[in-house]
Amino acid sequence: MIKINSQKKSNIFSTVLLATSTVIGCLSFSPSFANTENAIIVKSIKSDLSNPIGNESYWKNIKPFSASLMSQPMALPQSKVTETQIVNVQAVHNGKWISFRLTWKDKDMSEAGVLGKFSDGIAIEFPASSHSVPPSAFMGEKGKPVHIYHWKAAFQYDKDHGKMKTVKEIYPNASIDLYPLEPKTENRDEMKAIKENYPKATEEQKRIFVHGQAAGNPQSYPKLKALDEIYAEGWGTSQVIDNHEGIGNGKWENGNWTVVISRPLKSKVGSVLQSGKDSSICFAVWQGGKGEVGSRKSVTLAWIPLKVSK
Amino acid sequence: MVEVKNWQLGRNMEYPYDENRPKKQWAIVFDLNKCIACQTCSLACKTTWTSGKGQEYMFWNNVETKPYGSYPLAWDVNVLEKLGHQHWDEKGKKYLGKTIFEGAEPTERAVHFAPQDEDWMYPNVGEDDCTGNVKYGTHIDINKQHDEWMFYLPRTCAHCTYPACLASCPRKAIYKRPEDGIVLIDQSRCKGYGECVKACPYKKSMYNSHTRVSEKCVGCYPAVEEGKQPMCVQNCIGKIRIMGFINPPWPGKVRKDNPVDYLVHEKKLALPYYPQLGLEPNIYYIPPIHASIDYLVQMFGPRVEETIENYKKLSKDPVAQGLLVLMGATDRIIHKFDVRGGIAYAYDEKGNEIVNVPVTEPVIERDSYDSKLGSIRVNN
Repeated sequence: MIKINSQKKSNIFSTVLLATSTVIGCLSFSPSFANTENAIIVKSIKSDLSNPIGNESYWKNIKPFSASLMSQPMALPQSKVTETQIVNVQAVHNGKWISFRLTWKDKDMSEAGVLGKFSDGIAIEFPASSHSVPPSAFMGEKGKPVHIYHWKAAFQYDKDHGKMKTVKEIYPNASIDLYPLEPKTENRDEMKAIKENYPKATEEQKRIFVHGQAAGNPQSYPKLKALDEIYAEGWGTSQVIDNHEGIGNGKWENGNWTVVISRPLKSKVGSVLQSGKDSSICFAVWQGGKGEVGSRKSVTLAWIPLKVSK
Repeated sequence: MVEVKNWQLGRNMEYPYDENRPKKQWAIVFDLNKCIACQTCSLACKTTWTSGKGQEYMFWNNVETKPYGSYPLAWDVNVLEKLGHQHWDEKGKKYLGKTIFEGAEPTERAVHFAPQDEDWMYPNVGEDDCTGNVKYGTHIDINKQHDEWMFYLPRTCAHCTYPACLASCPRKAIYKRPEDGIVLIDQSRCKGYGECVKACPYKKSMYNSHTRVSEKCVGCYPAVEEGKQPMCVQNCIGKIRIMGFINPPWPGKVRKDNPVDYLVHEKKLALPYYPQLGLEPNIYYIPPIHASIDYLVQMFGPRVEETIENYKKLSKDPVAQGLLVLMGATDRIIHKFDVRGGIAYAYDEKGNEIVNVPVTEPVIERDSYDSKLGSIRVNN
């Protein structure tokens, strides 16, 4: 039995309305959208889009699309209130790459690190299958996956520094005696004896003591493109895939995030976008400083038409 | 939410997933009257599992001094306060309050509190702190509650029948093994959302900032798979622990010759801690005989007085005594025990004898003069 308070009831009611309108929209889903006001227009340009950072001059000519978000209302746990209401979207393509410049308000920059501190982030979602009716906007559905590009401030740190934060960087005042297979002593003679008598452990041997890495969890390795690429077929099924075509760049300034996510139009493993063809996109935003992580996020409640210009 | 059976509450309760009991359920029984907080268990666990980067303050097994010690800080008082009033029926058989699942806000899976990073950095806070100064001339009666008291509480993950960590994980990265009931975080799937750290009321899911994923006690499953007890049990120098498998107390399920069933169900010597939270935890405690009954009732439920009285009768019970001497007598998991002729026998899953121990060690008296060495014995 799930108890629903009145605020939640109204949220769910509006979700049902929007979901219904999505289904109706999906039923009439066709390659072209009559109403361009409700669509994101991806303008064709000639610039290099393999790694834009957001301050390029061509963005000035692109009218932003305001995507409305709401606290994720479908799965538990959830944020109690909608922390991010609007994300502004600009999009361009050059025939090979497509870039999304995303801006939203976030009073505090959060980069995670220690327990209980979470990273700011944004994700863009595309239908990964070629079905005429797109999958559920809420993380896809069985047999109809979605392809997600997830940028995080914590991943941006990895990209900018070429590595993850070390324990010493997370805890500057930490005094660490020693780690397994990394002997350390203040006594020079002892240290010399250790170096002479014991072979140096390989990185692979040391990794055995770092559980996430030993298990091959992508979360425990540096994100050198500042992005996770994810496949999902419904709630709780998302899986980071071994594909690193996309690239992210984010900068926080004066209470605003500007993040650019770029990907090839034609992804090797997932969604395929084509100039002159229409597709769909969804957004999710996390404000780490407000405790948002995982399913605690603000999301668009329906697919937004994406018109890729010729 | 679905309705599931929770024998520790004497009633059904709500849980996000169907009741799905494992073939065997991992369990440890601790005798709190014997624990001296030497922390050998904590170190045995730490050197085995948590000596790596990001695990500097991580103790899957810890021992805290009650009532003032806690790791992480104030985990117990925070959870109890958030849950609100917890009461049982007059006979003490049925829990009438809400569990953490039943009391959850509509946006949450469980009533929870989120410990801060600093809260984990004082693993031995409150060590040996007593409730107050012992007054001059105080006479301690071993059979009565002491005016001032403290006791040591060793804790591992309880590998709960209804884990809150598992219930709260939106990625479904936590699972309970059907073969032995051990609850594990899939280290290849976890993304470190920390929902399990928040939701586990016992605070036995922990976040590793180096790997960016959460970790927890693994019940020493590689040892268990080979018929051996976990490292914290094997290394307990006070011999206060025994690991085995527990059955629910339903007709035809309880086996009197199963050590855990015997201690928990048959002799009613051990109780789960904070059963009112609703997780059906599988670590059980023989409660201390000297501490405040009010405090113990809060921790172990209304049957704690009866349990303490049962413990006091042990001097007249050679079978129970036999089982207590088998604790710490072997590294292997005891599936069956027997006491006959003053000897306690332990058997493995196939019925092979593992070890036998005399219930009472023989007393040998020697002459005060050692004629061989030509010296007086000072310790004869």
